[in-house]
Amino acid sequence: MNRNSSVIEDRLARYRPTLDDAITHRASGSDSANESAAHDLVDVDWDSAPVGQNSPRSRLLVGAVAAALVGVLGVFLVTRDQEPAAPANATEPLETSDATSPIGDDAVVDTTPATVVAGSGLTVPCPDGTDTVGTGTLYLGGPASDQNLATNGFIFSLPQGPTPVDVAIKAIGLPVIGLECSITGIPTADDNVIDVLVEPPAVPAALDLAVTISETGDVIGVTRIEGTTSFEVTTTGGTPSLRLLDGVPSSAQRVQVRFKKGDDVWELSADPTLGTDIPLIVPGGEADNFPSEPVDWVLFTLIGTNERIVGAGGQVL
Amino acid sequence: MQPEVKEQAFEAFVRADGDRLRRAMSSQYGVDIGGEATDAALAWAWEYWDRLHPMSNPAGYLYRVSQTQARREVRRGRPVTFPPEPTHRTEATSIDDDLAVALRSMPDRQRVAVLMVHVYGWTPTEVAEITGAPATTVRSHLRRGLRHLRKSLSKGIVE
Repeated sequence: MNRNSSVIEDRLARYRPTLDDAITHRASGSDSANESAAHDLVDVDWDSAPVGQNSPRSRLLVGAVAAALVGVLGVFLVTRDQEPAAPANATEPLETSDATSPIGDDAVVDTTPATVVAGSGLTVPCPDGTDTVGTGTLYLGGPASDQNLATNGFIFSLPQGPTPVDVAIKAIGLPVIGLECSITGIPTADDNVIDVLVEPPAVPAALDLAVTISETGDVIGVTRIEGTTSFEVTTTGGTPSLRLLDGVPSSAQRVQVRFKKGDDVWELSADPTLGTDIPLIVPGGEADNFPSEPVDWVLFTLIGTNERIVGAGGQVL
Repeated sequence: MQPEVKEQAFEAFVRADGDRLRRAMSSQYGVDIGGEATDAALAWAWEYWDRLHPMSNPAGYLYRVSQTQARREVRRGRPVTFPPEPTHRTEATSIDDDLAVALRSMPDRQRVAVLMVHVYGWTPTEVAEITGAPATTVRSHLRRGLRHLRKSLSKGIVE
């Protein structure tokens, strides 16, 4: 990973809980600020918006009602990114073993017990028949931070930090299914493999993810996530390519690829054909603003019918 | 539209797009101004829901009409606030002090691009959808914004 370009991004990623706390705090104060919100409504210059015929008094009343409603919803909305609470019908919280175990020469997995890894309980149901494709960034690698789980993406930390289960839930929960669907992570006998159950109402999809955590220099982080679809990233003529090797579900209709180059994050869509190189190059018609910069990371999701996620993977280059 | 139907539709809209709007406005104008403008925009949306809900991108529409109030507040000299505020500083958040100062010093269009992409994980295309700017423009703001932040933080700027 290009450390020079990633330092500020690491700080921005870690800034999310601070910023969200401030937004939450302000939204939480909406109840007491309803009167001022209604006042603000009158104060707004809506020249560019359609103007109704309501009287100023009715606008105030409607505004106050809406502000109360918005205040309640606002608290929910800005807090739903936080760790989901287990619902009454959730499975018992799952715990991992209490140990820190080395994996390979350069990988360390922290298996400090998680508090709760049953991640279901979000109150907003998925739309019937569809999955919500999230918009988060899969951030691979980065410096150790005890705030990383609250960021959009994840950064592994030692000695006290998220378990691979947490990592897998965050890795898939944010960028793949978004925040609208329930998701559960279940440890397996293999410390490096987590069963992740993505559960929209229509058809649950289980993704088994192997999470690789490595230390490179002063960076400890997730460097690879692999599900049932095996893949490799190769370099031909200086251009990295993603190649799907095996295990592409038959229901996959396309592969959606996201990669980071310099300060830009680009997205590609391609056929999920086995053995075919998918060049990680800036899409046609767009300018590569960082031609000399390497690709930092790549994430792919396999998309089936109804935009359903049927597979996922990613790697730091 | 029947009141119950309107309420359900509005709630669905707020659940789906309210946080996007709030985060975008807060990123561009700070937590206080952006939050208040969002409250006002959603209150307006409730009042004029019949006109708003058929739109293809109501969140983007609200974002754009919210600019008027937010910019007015900025022109009046009201501070653009990002946490941690000096009066609310804790040991845990003090590491963000210089970042907050650097964010306040940024042009607002660069700031919304940087925060939405690198804090909240939006793609430039998604930022473009809500701000109404072309994606290429968002990318340009993003590059310049990151350059600004790096320069500010490396110099240890003082507000």
